[in-house]
Amino acid sequence: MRVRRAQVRSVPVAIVLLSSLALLLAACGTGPSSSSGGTHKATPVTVGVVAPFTGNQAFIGTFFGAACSAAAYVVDQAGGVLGGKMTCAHVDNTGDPADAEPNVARAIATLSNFDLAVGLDSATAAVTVPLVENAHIPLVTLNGLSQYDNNTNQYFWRVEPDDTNQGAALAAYTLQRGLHNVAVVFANLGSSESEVSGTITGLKNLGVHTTITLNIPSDATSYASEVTRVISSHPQAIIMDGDPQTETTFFTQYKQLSNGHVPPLITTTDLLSTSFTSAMTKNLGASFVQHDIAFLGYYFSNNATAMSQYKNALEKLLPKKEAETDLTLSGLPTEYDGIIVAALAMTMAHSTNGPTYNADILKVSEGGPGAVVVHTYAAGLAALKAGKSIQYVGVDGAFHFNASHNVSGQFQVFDQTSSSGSSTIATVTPALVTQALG
Amino acid sequence: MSGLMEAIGFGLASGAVLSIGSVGLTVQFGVSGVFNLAYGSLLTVSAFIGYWLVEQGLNLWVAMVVVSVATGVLSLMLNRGIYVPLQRRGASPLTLIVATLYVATFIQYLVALIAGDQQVSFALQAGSERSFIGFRLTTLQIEFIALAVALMLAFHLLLTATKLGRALRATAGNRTLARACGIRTARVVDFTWLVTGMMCGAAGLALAATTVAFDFNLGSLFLFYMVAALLLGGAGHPYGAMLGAIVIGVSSQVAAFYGNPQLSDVVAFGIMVVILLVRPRGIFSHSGATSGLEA
Amino acid sequence: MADEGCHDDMAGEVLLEVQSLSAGYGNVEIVSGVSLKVSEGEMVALVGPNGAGKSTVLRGLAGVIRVFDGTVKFLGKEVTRHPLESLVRQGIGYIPQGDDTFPHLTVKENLEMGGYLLATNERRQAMSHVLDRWPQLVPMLKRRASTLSGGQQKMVALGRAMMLRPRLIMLDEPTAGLSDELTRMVITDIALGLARAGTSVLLVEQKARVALETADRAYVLVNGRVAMDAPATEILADESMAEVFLGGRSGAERAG
Ligand SMILES: Nc1ncnc2c1ncn2[C@@H]1O[C@H](COP(=O)(O)OP(=O)(O)OP(=O)(O)O)[C@@H](O)[C@H]1O
Ligand SMILES: [Mg+2]
Repeated sequence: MRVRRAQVRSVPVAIVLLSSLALLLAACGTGPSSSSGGTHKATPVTVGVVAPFTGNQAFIGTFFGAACSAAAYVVDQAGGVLGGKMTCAHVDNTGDPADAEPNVARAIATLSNFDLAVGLDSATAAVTVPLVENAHIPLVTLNGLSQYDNNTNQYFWRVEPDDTNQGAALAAYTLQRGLHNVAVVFANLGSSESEVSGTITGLKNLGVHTTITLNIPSDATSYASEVTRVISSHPQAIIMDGDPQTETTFFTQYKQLSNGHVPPLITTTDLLSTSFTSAMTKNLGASFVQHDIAFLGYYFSNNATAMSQYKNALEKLLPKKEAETDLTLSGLPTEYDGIIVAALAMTMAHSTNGPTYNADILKVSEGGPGAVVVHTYAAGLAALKAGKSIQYVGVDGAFHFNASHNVSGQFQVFDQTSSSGSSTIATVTPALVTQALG
Repeated sequence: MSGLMEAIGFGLASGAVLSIGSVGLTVQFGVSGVFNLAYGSLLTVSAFIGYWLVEQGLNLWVAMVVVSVATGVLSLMLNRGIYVPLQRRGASPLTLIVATLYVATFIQYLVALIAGDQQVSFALQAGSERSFIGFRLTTLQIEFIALAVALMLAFHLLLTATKLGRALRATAGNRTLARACGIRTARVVDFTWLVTGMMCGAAGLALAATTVAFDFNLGSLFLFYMVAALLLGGAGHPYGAMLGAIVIGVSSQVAAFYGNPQLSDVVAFGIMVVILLVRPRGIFSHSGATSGLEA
Repeated sequence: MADEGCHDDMAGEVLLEVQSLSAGYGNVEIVSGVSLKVSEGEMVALVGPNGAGKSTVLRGLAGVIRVFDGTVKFLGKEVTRHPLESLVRQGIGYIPQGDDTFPHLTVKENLEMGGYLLATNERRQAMSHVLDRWPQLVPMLKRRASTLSGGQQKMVALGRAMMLRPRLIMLDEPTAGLSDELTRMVITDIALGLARAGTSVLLVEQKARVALETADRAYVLVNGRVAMDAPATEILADESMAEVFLGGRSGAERAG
C-alpha cells in the first residue's frame, strides 16, 4: 500500500540519490527514439515541463522531467499523438518568479508545438499560470496554492487534490461513519491551515457538531490541559492531524486522564507508519490501533495495468535504482496520468491545438454514460478509433475535476489490521467532499 | 474552577520535572562558570539509555539510578575532557559557550545516528489517575513530583548543612578565595558536574517517561525551558530555578487550559519577560553579581 | 653591612625563599627573575608603580597563575607551583587584591569559611581568637559582608585569613580605597602587629611611603623585575627610588 503524503517526506533522501541524475535525465528528456509512421502530415507535440532545472531546487525538475519522459515514451510506443511524436522540453523556472517570467515567456515564443505544459512550483505559479493561460496552452499542475481553490482560468487543470480537500474529506468520513459529535485537534507540524479550515467548514456544512477545536503545539512534553478540555467536551471521535510523536503523546495522556476511555481517532495516512502504530500499540493497546484508528488518504486506484506501463517506462528510461526510487515518489504518477489524459484529449479532438482539445480533458477524465474505462494510452486510442467515449483511470485513478478545474479527490480510509498491513475500510466520494466544501 | 486546579496540578507535574533539570543546569553554571548548552543533549542521552533499559525489562526506578550515575559520569568527563582544558587555556566566556553549542549538536546527532531519527515510545503504565484537592494526576506524575521535592530537599540540606555544601557555595562565590580557605575547588567542580549530571539524567528519564513519545530532539527542545527557568530564577540560583520551573510549568498549562494551546508557550514566556523586566537578574537575585549559591 | 647583619640576627628562620621567579598569564611572562625572602616575624613590603607586576608576583607565589621558572621554598621545602589550597594547608595565608570577602555571606559565615579546614571546636576557638583581636567585628557578625564599609570589609578579609593562623600572610594592597587614616592603621597597627605576633607579612602596596616607613625590608618592583632590595628605610631615603614610583607616594596622599 502506498501512502501518499508520507512519501513526500522521503523526498530529501531522494534528492541525495537523484540529484546526480539531472544530466542523465536531460539527455533522456530529449526523447526516446521511437519515431512514428506518418511523418508527412503529423505534427509533433512538445510538452513543456515548467520546473526548476537549475539552482537548489533542480531536483524537482529532475523528477518531473522523468515522469514526462515516461509519458512521452508510452505515447510514442503507441504511435504518438495523431501520428506525431511527443517530446518533453525543459522550461527552467529556477524556482524564482524573476527567472520564471522571462524563461516561460521565451519558451512560449520559441518552442514549436508547445501544446501542453506540466509543472509543480508554488513559488512561480503566480507568473507562470497567466502566461500559459494567455497563450491558450493547457496546464497540468500540481501546485498546492489555496489561491487556485476558486480558479477561473480555462486552461488550468490541477490534478492533485489540495489540503482543503483532504480536510473536508476528514469531515465527510466522519459523517459517513454516522458520528455527530467530534473533537478536532490539529498540531502545527503535520497539518496545514487549509486542511484545518477544510475540516472545520466541512463539519459545519455536513451538520456534524464540533465539540471542541484545538490547535496544539507539536512535540510538547505535556498535553494534559489540552486533553482535559477534549475529554470534557465528550466527543464520539477525535479528528487529529499532527506528527506521529505528537499524536502518540496526546493519546497516551488522554488514556491516562480518562481512565482508559479513549474515543476513536480519525487521522491521515501521514501517520501510517510502523513507528507510529507500534508506539500506539504499546500505549493504547493492539485493539485500539486495529479497530479505532482510521487513516484517511488520497485514493489510489493503483490500477495494475496503468501502473505496470508506468513502471516499465521508467525502467526503460532510467537505471534500475533510480527507476525504483522514482516509483516511490508521489506526484510523479499524477503528472504522468495528466499527460496521458491530455494526449487522449488531443486524439479525441483530432487536434493538438490547446483551444480545440482543452474541453476534452474533462471528457476523458469524467467519462460519462457509456464510456469505456481505459488504463493505457493505447487502449484509449483503440476505443476512440472504435467511436466510443472513454474514461481514463490511470496510475492515480480517475481525475474528478470541479468547476474550478481542481480535482476533488476520492479518498480512501484504511485501518491497520495487523502489524504488517492495512486494509481499506471506506472510500469517501468526491461528491461528498464537494458537498462538505459547500 | 475545578479546571483551574487541574491545570495547576498538571503544571506542578511538568514543573517538577523541569525543576530537576533546571536546578542542575543553574548549579553547574553557578559553580563552574560554564553555561553548558550540551546539558540538553545529555538529557536526550539519558532519555534514550533509560528507554532502552526499561525496554529490557528493568524497573523504572532502578533504571533511573543507573541512568543518573551514567549521565553523571558523562557530565564529569565532558567537563574534565573539554571545558576545563579550554578554561585553563584562557578561553573567553563566549568561546566556551560556542564550544558547548558544538558539543550539544555533536551529541544530539550522535544520538540520532545510534538510536535513529524516529520517535521511540515508552510502554509504561502511568498508574491510575488520582484526584485530590482538585488535582488529577497519575501515580507516575505524583511519584515524579515526590522525587523532585526529595531531590530539592536533599539539595537544600547539602548546601546548608554540610561541609561540602559550604565548599560549593564558596567555590561558586569566588574560586580564588575558596582556594585561599583551603578548599580543593577542582574536586568541588568535579563533584558539581557529577551531581548536576545525575540530576540531568533523572530529569531526562522522568521527562521521557511522562512525555511517552520522543525523539533525539527531546533535550534540545527542553533546554529552552530549562534556560528560561534558570533566567527566571536568576542564573546560578538553585532556589530561583526551582521557582522559575514551577512558574513556567503552571503558567503554560493554565494558558493551555484557558486559551489557544498553540500560544501557551507564548504566555509562559511572556510572563517570564514581564518578571525579568521588573527583576532583570531574576526572582532570587541580589544586588551583587555573584552566584546565588551563596544566598 | 653591619646594619644588615644585625637585622638578619634579629629575624628568625627564613620562612619564604623565592629564587628567580618568572610568572605570567597564558604565554606572556609578566615578571622575571624575581628573588625575595621573608623571615619569621618580619614584615616585608613589595612596592612599585601601577602595572609593575606586584600582584602577579603574589599570584605566582600563591599558585593561581602560570609559573615559568624559578623556585619557591616555604619552611625549607620546595613548594613551587603548589596549588593555593595546598599552600594554605601548609601555613600560608593569602588575601587577593579586590574581591577579598564572600559578599553574600555574613561576617560570621566569612570567618567560618576561613576556618573551613578546622574541626568544629577548633573553628570556634579560632573565631573567638580572631574576634578578640578585632572586637569591632562582633556587632556586625550577622551582617552580609557586602553591606559593610571598605574598612570593615578589610577587617573581615583579614579575620578570614587569620582563622587558620598562618605562619605567613600575603596581602595584596589591603589599603586600596581606604582613607589615609585607615591606611595607616591597617599597615602600622594591623600588618606590623601580625608580624610581631608570629604571622610574617608579605605586603604589596602602592602607597609606598607608609609601607616603607613601617616594613622591616622592602623590594621595589619595576617592569616585572626587582629594581632594589634593601631595608625599607634605605629605599625611602633613596632619591632615585622616589622618582621610580612618584605615583606611589602621591597616591598615598591622594587616597583620602
Ligand atoms: N589576568 C591577566 N591576564 C593577562 N595579563 C594580566 C592579567 N592580570 C594582569 N595582567 C598584566 O600584568 C601586568 C602586571 O599586572 P599586575 O596586576 O601584576 O600589576 P600591579 O603591580 O599589581 O599593579 P597595580 O598596582 O595596579 O595593582 C599588567 O601589564 C597587566 O596588564
Ligand atoms: Mg596589583
